[in-house]
Amino acid sequence: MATTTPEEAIAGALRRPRKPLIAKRRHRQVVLTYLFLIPAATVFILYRLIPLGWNFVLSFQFWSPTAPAEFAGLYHYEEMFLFDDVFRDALKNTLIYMLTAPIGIIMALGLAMLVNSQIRSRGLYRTLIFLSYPLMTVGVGIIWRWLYDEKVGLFNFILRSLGLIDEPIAFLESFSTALASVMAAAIWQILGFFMIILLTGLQNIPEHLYEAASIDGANRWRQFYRITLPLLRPSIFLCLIIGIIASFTSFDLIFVMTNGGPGHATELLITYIYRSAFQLSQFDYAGALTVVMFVFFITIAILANFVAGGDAGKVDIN
Amino acid sequence: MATVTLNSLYKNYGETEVVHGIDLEVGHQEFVVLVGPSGCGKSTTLRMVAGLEDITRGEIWIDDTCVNELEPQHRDIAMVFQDYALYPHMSVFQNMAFSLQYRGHDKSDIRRRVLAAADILNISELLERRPKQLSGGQRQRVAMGRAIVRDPKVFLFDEPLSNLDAKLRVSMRGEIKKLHRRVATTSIYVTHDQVEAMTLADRIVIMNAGNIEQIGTPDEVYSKPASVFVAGFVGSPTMNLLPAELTAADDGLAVRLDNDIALRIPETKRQRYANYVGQPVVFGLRPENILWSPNGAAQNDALIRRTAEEIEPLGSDTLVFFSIGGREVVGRLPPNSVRRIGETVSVLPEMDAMQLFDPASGKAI
Ligand SMILES: Nc1ncnc2c1ncn2[C@@H]1O[C@H](COP(=O)(O)OP(=O)(O)OP(=O)(O)O)[C@@H](O)[C@H]1O
Ligand SMILES: [Mg+2]
Repeated sequence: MATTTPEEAIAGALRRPRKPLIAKRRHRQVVLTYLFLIPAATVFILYRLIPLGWNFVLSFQFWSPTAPAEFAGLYHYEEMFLFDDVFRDALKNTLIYMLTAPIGIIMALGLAMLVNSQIRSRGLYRTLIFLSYPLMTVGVGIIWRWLYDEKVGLFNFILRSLGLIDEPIAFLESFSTALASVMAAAIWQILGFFMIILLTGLQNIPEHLYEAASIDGANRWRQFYRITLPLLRPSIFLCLIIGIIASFTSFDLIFVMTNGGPGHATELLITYIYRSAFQLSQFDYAGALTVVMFVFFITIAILANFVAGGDAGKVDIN
Repeated sequence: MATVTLNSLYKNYGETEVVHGIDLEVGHQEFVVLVGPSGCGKSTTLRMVAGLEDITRGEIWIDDTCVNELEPQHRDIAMVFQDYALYPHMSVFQNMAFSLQYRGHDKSDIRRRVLAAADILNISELLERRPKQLSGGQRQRVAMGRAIVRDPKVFLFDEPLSNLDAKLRVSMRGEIKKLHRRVATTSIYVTHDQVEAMTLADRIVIMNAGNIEQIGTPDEVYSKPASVFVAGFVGSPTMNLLPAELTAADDGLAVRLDNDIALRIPETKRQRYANYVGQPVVFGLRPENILWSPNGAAQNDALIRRTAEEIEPLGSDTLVFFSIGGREVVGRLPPNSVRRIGETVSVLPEMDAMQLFDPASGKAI
């Protein structure tokens, strides 16, 4: 009879009862990973990648639903960058509109720190501030349109009751105030969401760190600057990226409140794309606009994540 | 010079008073340990010294300054927390340098001090790491480093070793002791581990439910516990405590433990106990004062013969449990003196080491 070495005996004892379908563990993990990815990836490819690719193709063609396609080279891009004033306005407005993210974050940070402190009924404040977030954007637009209304709006009523103005202000109809007014509504809507994220981040910072810092000689401001801000950085950048995405795609709010007007004073890239495609039927030109917006957008997202140190959204203490 | 004085210190959380008027003086370079069961107010007291909790009533003095109204950063203290409270986003160096930056040290001075402290604590190799890249023991050292770089007047420790495993705890305990010998700074150290307290302290403060039960050297609290509480808290296993009655014997005093046991009180103690004759008392005797006497003369009326109910061999000696008057008593006997449960043990109580307590007040007589 053949003798078995101890190694063989151990190996025998550990042998799996059934041979797995895929021999190597690492391969098994890879396969499993992709299996889980399939549903999300399918949706992503069908509704994001393919249309984006189609846009890309379209942007180099003359195309309309009724005429056969024809190669156009860089025609649409030339048109856009050299001759289209509306595009320039939309680009500028989009950049300005993006400021809703940082402004909102600063305000939300202040609020989060307030409702994180020992003030009374902070739970109530938290809920109130967060309430704006689950509201439908169309609803937010309608509410704020009413607030801004020249004749029956609350803002004009208050300002006139206080005697601050004689004539009502046409917030949404005047070139100088329209964009800022819409931005105020956008900030109000996303503030609650920012606040919840920042509040979570704040609550993840152990109280002992502040105690240690105060013993170490750091006053309130230094504690904020050296402890709170750095430890909140991932949360802040998560807000920043989400806020920028939200501002880029803030179509519904604009559509309901001003529809891009007056003139093109509140025209964003996204509303301009919509207008080009579905009101002016310039699908090819809209395609080119989309490609530009996409490149613009990706650049900003990558930049933001880079500045965040690649860990936007990470919650990690110790 | 740095001394800390607590003058009838009270602390209320809302309606509840958790510290009931504590008086304590910590001398220059003294290492004082606050010890007591969970929730007795040790941390609260320490945090009042640190300035992290408001003082409800009473005063705290550091040297000749009343610090009641001073912010923590102006008290010139350093604190080591149970969870270390290292700044997770800073390197070890930055953690240790943090406090120096706000106290007007220039760059080269900061560097010199951090390196010196790192050297003392053996963490020079770790200066560039983040806290999460350190083991528990290393974090502990960094936390201590953060305290010593500043050369403060007082060190405060709140259970700094309780997050470490047993073995590391013992070795860090030794290091803290060495450190204190080297960087002699007035220290207040909180723990609920009485062994830690005994090994580290110059003086131990034993707290119970917001009061101080006893202040004394480790030796004093061990051999002369001021109350039943202290007797039952210090030592491992703790002192045997039995209800008893003090009686007058033919030529002196005796404690009656059980129907058949009356132990004669040594002459030196008679004077002290004389007033308690005929009264109930609590009799206390440490396990090591129960002596094994297998060949004890049967006529010696102090000899106690009982059945061993439990044995715990510890290697160097064996704990033997038996009962007197329905109460469990433990003796620290030589190894192998009793081998089996159910064997008969003959022991002699060493009456020179006995203690008596007043059952009503719990205080030593
Ligand atoms: N913030 C607080 N609010 C109300 N009561 C508190 C607060 N902090 C502590 N207490 C109470 O004060 C008492 C003393 O607490 P303390 O933390 O000083 O105990 P401790 O001796 O440090 O205990 P441990 O060994 O468990 O740390 C406890 O009864 C506790 O419940
Ligand atoms: Mg405590």
